[in-house]
Amino acid sequence: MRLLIRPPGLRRGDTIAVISPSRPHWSTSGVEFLVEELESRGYQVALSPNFNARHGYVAGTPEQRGADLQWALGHPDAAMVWCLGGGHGAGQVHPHVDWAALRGARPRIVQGFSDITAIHLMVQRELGWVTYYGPNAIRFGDPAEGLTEATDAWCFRVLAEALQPVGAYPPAAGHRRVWRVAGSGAVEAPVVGGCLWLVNRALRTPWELDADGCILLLEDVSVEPYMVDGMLTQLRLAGALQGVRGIVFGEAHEVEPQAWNPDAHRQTLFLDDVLRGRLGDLGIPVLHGFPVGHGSDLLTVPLGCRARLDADARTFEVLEPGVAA
Amino acid sequence: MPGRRKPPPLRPGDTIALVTTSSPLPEPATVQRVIGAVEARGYRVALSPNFNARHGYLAGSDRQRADDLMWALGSDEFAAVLSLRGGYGCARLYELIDWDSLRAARPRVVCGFSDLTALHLMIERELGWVTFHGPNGWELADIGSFSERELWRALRPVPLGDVPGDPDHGGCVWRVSGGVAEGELAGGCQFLLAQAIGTPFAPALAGRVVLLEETRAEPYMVEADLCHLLSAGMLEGVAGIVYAAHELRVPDYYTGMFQHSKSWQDVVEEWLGGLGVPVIANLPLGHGRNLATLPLGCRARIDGDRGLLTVLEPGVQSVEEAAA
Repeated sequence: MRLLIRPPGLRRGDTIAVISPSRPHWSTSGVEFLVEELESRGYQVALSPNFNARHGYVAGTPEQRGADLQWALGHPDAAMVWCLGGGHGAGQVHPHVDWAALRGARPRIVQGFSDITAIHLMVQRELGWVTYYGPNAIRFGDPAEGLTEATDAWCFRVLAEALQPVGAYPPAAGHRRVWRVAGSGAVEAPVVGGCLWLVNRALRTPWELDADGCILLLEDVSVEPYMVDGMLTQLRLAGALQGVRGIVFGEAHEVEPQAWNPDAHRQTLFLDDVLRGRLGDLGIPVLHGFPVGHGSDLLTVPLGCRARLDADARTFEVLEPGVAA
Repeated sequence: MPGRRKPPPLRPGDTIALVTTSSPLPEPATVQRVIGAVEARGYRVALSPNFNARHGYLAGSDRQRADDLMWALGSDEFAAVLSLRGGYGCARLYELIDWDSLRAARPRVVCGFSDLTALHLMIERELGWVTFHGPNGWELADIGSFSERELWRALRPVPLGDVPGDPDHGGCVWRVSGGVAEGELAGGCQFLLAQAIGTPFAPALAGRVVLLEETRAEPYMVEADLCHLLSAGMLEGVAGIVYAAHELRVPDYYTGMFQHSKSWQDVVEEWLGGLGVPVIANLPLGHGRNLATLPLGCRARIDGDRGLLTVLEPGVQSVEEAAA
């Protein structure tokens, strides 16, 4: 994993480019509220050219969404590219972006999570920028998205604060305590990763994650334990966990046997069994239960920044400021 | 990759080993009906030592399941190996199998589908055997006449010929893309093929006629699997694609964001329709009531104009080869 460059912090008056590389928006009012909200905080907002496109469950064809990503990453005024929402399909844009043409663009903040993991991996690999695993933009517009004060405050602190280190992440509200899945001791390394499902979907693609020498951050939502097992098994067999220094599993939200599944998987193993069973023999520290994922709070993590994982103290902290001065 | 080797045809009185590579049977008593069904067809049954073990959604520990699989694939007394059911867990066994010690074993009929896709991939990669994409063991307890006929037909020492259409759909085949091509059969459950990407048993699919079958997934999941196979280059140079779909729809309970959906047919057309190779869909090669058995590794012809998949060589040795 090469060193990633931190972009400059977000300042009042800056332009935020909003794009939809995954699902379309289904709340016109939510988008209008988002624009008003960001403007009220002193930012200018630019919606991408194909912002309202739809193609089934994705926000336009892969070509349209690729063009929008290109537009945002190369936009002369945009200090930040904020992905509207997750869902499915962001990985489809890769062949429709002229990455070589973007290598001269100045680094800027790129934020989103869940399906946007694919965008993180592309920007890190193709452009070498630190990217921000944090709330998608729609959370600041659509009341149904449940923005919490903690999520809001942490996000803008990470994106704007260039002098103080990001610091330690508290335990997730849904966990109360951080669980030591495995290992002992502390490691310091850049933190990379994202949604487990999407990290898997990137294997052997041009945007495959290289976590060698890094702390690997993972989270997932609405899958059954056996599917987490399958994904971790694939990562192991594909060698993707080799050289990983430690693993932070943020929140696994609604990772449980699904009541609607009539299958015999209800005679199940549970997430804890799977995490310890598949990650416990790697000889590295593994913690679970930080508010990074699909839970109520989502505290932005600057991917590529230096972090510290201490299995004994059960702490995870980012040691650098999230942005450059 | 080792050269292709075919098993001898089954003879009455042969012994079929039953193992559990993946998830356990929901009803343990089902095994008695499977044994009865196999014996009624003139074969003997050997149950693997740990067949009744359970560990959550796995039919025993990895070690137990791997030992059982080694026993079934390595012992000379078995003419065929069936895993009782799919579900989840076969891929976990790869690192625990001593493949070197199995290379001396003679090929035998290995049949299964769904999670057993991983077993097909491992055996092809490590042992080079022709294996059979067909029913898992527990299906034999209640097998329908179509699946039964097609299973035994595929195990005869003659070319299988045309794969029949699904009688529940009037035999109709969807011709997605035209053209005619030949290649060795490969593939299986699309979800498991995508989960094999990057692993030591990721298949080499160039030049081959590839079966992709998927069940009980929403169209966006179908698309995610397909896009992963495509973006990882797994489908580059394939000769043709046979798509089999079962219950690929937005379920009633899901009222969320994927409601403005594409259908699985939209997904197949969008991502496979432009590859420039023949693509056909709706043959009974997946999780539906009717399942035709295919010899993976054998030459086949796909005709996208006529909607035909034709298997050109037998999946087992001729009687003379087997006697030699």
